[in-house]
Amino acid sequence: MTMLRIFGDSHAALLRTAAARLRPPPPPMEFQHCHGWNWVEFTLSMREGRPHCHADRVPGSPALDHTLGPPQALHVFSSPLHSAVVVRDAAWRRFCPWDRAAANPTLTPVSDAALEAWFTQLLACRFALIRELRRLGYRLAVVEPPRPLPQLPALFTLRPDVIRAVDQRYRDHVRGWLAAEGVPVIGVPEASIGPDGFTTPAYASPDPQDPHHGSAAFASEMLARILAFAATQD
Amino acid sequence: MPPPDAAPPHPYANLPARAFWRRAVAAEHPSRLSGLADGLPSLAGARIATAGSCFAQHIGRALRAQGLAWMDHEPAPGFLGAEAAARLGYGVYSCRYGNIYSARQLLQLFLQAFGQFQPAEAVWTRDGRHYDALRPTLEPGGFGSAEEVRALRVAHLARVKDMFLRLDVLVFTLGLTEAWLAADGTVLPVAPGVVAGDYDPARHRFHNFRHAEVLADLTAFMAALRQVNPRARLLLTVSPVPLVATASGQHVLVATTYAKSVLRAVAGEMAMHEPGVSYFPAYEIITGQPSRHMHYNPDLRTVSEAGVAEVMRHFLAATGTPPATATATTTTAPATAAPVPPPPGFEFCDEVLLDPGGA
Repeated sequence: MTMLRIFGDSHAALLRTAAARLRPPPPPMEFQHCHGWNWVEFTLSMREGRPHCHADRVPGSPALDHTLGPPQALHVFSSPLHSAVVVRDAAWRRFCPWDRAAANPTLTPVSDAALEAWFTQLLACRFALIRELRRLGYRLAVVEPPRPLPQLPALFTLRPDVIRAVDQRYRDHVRGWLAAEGVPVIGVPEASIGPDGFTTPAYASPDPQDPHHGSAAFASEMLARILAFAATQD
Repeated sequence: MPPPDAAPPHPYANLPARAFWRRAVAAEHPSRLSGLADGLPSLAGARIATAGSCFAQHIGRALRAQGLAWMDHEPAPGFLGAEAAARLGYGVYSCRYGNIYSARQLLQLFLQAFGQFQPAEAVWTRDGRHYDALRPTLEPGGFGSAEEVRALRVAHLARVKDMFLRLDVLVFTLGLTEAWLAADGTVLPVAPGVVAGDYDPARHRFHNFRHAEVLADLTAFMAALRQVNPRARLLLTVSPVPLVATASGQHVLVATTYAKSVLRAVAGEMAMHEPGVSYFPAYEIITGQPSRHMHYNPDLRTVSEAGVAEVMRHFLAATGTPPATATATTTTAPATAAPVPPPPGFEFCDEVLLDPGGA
């Protein structure tokens, strides 16, 4: 089977934990995780013909200082669909996407263009990295993190319908861009999405203070999905 | 009895130097001109809103830089970067109404905000995108749906209403007399078809406002404003920026002179006869003989940064504003977010779209 290299934010770390639990042991895999992948302005350079990403002064995280492996492996990137930064922004206590304004008359509506401008800025480095990887011939997929967790609204004093709307727009924005670039997405299982758009309890982190990670069951299922996708790439 | 060689008394005999061209203008370096405006309201501690033509955005910017209580009453969400926020019309004027070129447009905005006027032509389309016909360049790429336009307009008008209720001083810059009107009389900020929408001679007509109309509109606006906010004062300026284009059939230079003459005359008349209204001579500072047109950029239309600075030097002196304080005290609406500094030296201006190659 193709060598797998899973890199990105803390969701990649959960996938590594899931891989360690697999019996029989999984095929060769490498993991690299750092919160810096989510950072808005990491520096992209080349080292020995391979992309190198660097970001220091990342709040609450060690520096990102990583050279990606050679392009023969299938690279799975966990960061671009990570919506946590977006959905829990304090602005949502005063603003809402325009189509939630009628249901939230005390909030000020913002346009789709405003959201797009924000997303574009946030994702610029990650999209630049993806483009560079594609240019260099890397085989690449993006793995989706869980939808917002049920505990998120209470943790950040935000309205569930607003969180859901922002999350949906963010994921649609990223998915649309990835589709245009020809980058496949390994999506979350339908069973992990409740009727309210939030992650169902079985797939959400059991830690009530954890705002965005999946459960062990979620990680295992996502790893299985990644392996199934990788099998189609051989 | 006066001595035999003394000049006989006459009305000009004891007037101050500023009353005489030779002493006040010809003998003064333009940078030393002073005392151009009287009776302006003090801006210290006042909640100041700005609106008007393109030139008005310089005033808001300078007020904010001076630490005055400029009202950013429809602020951007904090997640938007300064450049993106300004591009989407945040922080350019006190609310996101875009350019308000004429007195009728200002009056209609007020009436809309207070539910007394409902424009029949509110949404334009182009290439599958939707545009607010009353602020068509607010979002350069337009909106995804007419519903989005309407939702944002409802919220916008609520902020505008609140701004009129709370402001102490409205600084309004008169820009144009020429306008395009929809069938119901709604003033469109830019001709239909330029940004979006379809120009239909059966529905859209050109109108060049006369002095009496501008005066009536401003008088009606002031009366309406005073009714909801008795302490409100109006500080008028006239934009020194010539027309980009005219639909009047006249040469654009002649059309510009007509427009600015009407607006200047109305502003002066309002200031002389309407309580609570003042005039600040930004127009004279830029276009007057002392400047020898040195404050214009090479296009002889847009005003240089130095010119704007000169206007603001006079403005701040005339309003009793001390030199710049270290920290701006922009007042933001309850839906507060990060203050947005617009890019210096840049104007968001619908009118330039009439002649894209000339911008």
